[in-house]
Amino acid sequence: MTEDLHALAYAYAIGTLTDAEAQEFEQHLAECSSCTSGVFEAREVAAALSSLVPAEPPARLRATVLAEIAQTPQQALPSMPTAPSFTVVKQSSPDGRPGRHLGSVAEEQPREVAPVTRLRQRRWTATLLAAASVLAAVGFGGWAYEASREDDTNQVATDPAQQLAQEQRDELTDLLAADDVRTVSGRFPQTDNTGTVVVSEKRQQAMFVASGLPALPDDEVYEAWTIDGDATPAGTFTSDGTRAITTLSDPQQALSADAFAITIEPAGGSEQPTSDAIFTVVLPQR
Amino acid sequence: MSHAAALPAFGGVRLFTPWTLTQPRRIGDAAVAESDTRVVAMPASPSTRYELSALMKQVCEGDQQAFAQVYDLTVRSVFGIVLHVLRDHAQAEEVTQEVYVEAWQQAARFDAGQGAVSTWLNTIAHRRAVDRVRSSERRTQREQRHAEQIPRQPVPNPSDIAIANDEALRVRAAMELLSESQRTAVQMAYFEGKTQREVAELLQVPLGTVKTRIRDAMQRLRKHLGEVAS
Repeated sequence: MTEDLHALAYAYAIGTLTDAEAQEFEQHLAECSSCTSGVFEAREVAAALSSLVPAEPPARLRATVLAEIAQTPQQALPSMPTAPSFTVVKQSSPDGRPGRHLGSVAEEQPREVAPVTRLRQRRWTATLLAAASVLAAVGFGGWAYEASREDDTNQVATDPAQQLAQEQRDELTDLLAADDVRTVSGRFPQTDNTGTVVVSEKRQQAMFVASGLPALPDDEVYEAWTIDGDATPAGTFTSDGTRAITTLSDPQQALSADAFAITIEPAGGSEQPTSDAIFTVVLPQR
Repeated sequence: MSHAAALPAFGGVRLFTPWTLTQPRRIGDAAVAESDTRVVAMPASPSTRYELSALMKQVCEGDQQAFAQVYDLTVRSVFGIVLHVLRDHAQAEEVTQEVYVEAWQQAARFDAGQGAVSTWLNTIAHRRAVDRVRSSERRTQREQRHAEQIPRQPVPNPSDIAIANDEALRVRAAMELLSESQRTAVQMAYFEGKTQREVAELLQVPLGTVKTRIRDAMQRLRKHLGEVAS
């Protein structure tokens, strides 16, 4: 039996075992170092065989792949320490308005690391940076944006909103293909979705993209901010409930600022934040 | 039908057995519309290998630009094997995308002690392509298509060998040292994603014979490609 299993290393490495056979072999593999090295060698041979059939993929595949990985968290080994998230939206604001609950709020409250209360400029910035550093240290979070596929692009968007969304998606895909593109992601603590800031100095362009942001009532918008000592408005945007993409109004500011934040503001946007940040992230530095 | 002659083809476009990478291969409608596209194998030179290893370290730290370079250095080989197994351009694109997303997610699992980056990617790519090919519904569709489109055997043209790079030439030379029956077994098992049992049924030979052919073929290839694993 063992003889037989040894002989399967090649067959296993080139994927010609049935699933059941492969499973059986894998059990054997776990305790047989000679088979393990046999499999590694056989894989090298298999990879060499692949050199016989090279094919050039369509150029768009590169942009699609890079767009997708920009929004895909990496798995760490060993498992990543749990991110201490920060609470920004649970407390009532001083003006008496209740705190906002974005999307599905988990039973378990996020651990409070840096409670952000009233947005007094200095303090807000300092707290925000502290919180954002934590996020940045943890790295990219989960994100479920589906890269625009050929099917999507071929569809003729009739609805102006749809068309705008499509244009923004195309713009994002394009930006992600820039050779100096940098991205940084952070988590929305309330929904556990991830938002990503994408910047390119060469293109002088900056965008923000997030999934799972709830659609807001008509009298409210999401507002983006760049934080560089002070908060500077970077444009307002809405979400269709699944996906939000926006181009930041001042790319230069986004390229030089320390951090980036999102708040919910009255329709039309505000000059200074009037509510708590629901998302913050430290921006990539040149 | 003689399986040695049943060469992969789709969309009315001829593909060739892998070891006769000697003629321009045109894949998919877009490429067909253009003039002959000659695809040259990815060099797997030691310097590329070293470069890929270094890039993977950066990828593990979340460096997307490094990942883009890994993509550029490996995608022809990855897309090539996926396309060859699936014989469907749209599906090959999908699977290639899945391969790279998996590679990104699992970058930390890459272990240079277990082989080259290109081998690691190739293993993921081949496994995903084979999984896809084995999903029965798609398989049925594919085989119906093929039944209508299997062309006659293309004649390899030795004078075109020059387009292949050293690596491909070495592999091709090694393939030619195999017996016809061994080559067929490797072709069906690796390049078509068939199980040993399926190969046995299609060739109407005992399963044990197929197992022996595949094992012997792989051992011979390994011997002749000795440096590949070094």
